[in-house]
Amino acid sequence: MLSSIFRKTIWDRRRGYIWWVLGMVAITGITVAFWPTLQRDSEVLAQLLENLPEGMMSLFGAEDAGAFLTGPGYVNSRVFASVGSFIAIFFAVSMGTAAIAGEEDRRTMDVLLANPIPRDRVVLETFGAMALLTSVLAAVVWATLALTNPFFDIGLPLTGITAASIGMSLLALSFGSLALMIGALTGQRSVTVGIASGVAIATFFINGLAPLIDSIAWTQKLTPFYWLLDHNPLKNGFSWQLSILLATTLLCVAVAVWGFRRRDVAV
Amino acid sequence: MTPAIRTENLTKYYRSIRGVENLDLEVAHGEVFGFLGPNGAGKSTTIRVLLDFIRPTSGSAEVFGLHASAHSIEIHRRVGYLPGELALYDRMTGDELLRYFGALRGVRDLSEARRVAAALDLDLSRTIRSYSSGNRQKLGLTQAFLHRPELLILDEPTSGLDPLIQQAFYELVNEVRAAGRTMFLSSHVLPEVERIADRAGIIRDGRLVTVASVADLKARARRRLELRFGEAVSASVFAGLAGVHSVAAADGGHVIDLQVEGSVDAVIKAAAGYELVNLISHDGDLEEAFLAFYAVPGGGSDAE
Repeated sequence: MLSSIFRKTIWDRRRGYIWWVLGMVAITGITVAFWPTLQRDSEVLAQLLENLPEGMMSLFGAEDAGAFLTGPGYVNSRVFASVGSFIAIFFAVSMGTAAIAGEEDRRTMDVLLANPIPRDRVVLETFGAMALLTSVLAAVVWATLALTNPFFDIGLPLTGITAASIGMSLLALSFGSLALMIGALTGQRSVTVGIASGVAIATFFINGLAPLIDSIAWTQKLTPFYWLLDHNPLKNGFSWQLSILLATTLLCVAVAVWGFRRRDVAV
Repeated sequence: MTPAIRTENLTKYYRSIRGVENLDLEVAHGEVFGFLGPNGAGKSTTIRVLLDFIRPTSGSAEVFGLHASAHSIEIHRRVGYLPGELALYDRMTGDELLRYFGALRGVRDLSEARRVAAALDLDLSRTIRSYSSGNRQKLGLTQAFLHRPELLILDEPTSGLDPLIQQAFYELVNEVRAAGRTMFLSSHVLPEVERIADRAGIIRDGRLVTVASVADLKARARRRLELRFGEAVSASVFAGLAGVHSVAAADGGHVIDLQVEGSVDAVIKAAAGYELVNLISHDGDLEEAFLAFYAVPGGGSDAE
């Protein structure tokens, strides 16, 4: 197992990872399990939702109460527009932080780099491990939804589940590679965690609330959340918009490679 | 022959903080070179430039005649390194760490590492988290030897090792020397360098003060003389003599304690005018040479 940085990075996660997987199964499974109840009491709920402020609805990815009461709208707001994505994001950020900043923070970067390995490979292999494990988390969501969808009669199209799951992993990887990039540029763990999770939370609120204010509505398009949620992949399937997330990820990785190549490694 | 290590005018500043300044250093193939200086003098800075962890502000550094930064991978392949601020992966066992670094180096045969670990009396089956600092240091040394490198760069190799294990380490150094391999080790522990190095460079405040063979350093060292007289003698008799420092009288002038650099001739001739009962010479060791270079007033034995 310990035969490359890529494999070692996965090995590092061997104990904690199962909890991320279980958390993802739990949030997805519970969401699905509540669907029948929700449907039965939909009239009461519709009234409740009408009374919610517009911002609340917008924040959790539903245009209006009606959208929330459809199967795809409901699952989207619970899993892809909120908790599920956040689990994936924080997982990716933790791996992106550990990759460079964490290694330097624990002072193991010197012995690692003393091996005949280019610095680029530390960045690329840790990114590879982050991409794989984050995608597996998204695949867990995919599997949970694909398996339960027929039984609970939610009406999710399979391509929608696939597109939204891939989109979720790309969303998480945008923030994970942002953390990788900040770590590669600064080598400071707390700075990296702080900025990457701060940006994740801030952009989540910007995406949800900016559309309510006309003058700043455009800022929504600066957030990764917009590029996942705007086209509602769970309902509509794949869109070119997901490629913005892929491009963001690759750009961050490229800057990380460049930044780590040229700077001094902290003691 | 190309030297194993060469730096020319090497200068490194961390923003405005001095690391090293205009360091010219040359270490030949097959020698054991001691890099001596107190903490913060710039030893680790120099070493980390050689390994391309940090880039010089100006000047150059070469290992095996290769530019330290441009050819870092080739250099790393041929160098074993022990960091001064050693940290290893806590959750691995010693054995796992060696297999990991072996894999990164393309070394499958870990027999050399196991041999070194056995020589240092290190249990590789335990997790690094459970290691004492001495055991961590042993594992750090072991991984540096793993691929039988032609050059070993060891930053404070014996820190945290008990005397028995230090002995085992000295034997490893002798093997390296006998095999014609090169070792560059930093230390602030003077008797250690005196004991294992062929040559030593002394660094102070980021500048190389001197480079000399250990034998030369000893010869240049101040020695301490203790003169016991049958009568009271004034310290002023010796205070003005060439090469004499730190004269002190004790026991009502019956004992004169002084330090002398180079020849003791003048001291002995001056002492001959009095009733000299006993003369004790504390042989110059590197520690005294070292203190002389640092000009520590009334310096004791503490090298820190």
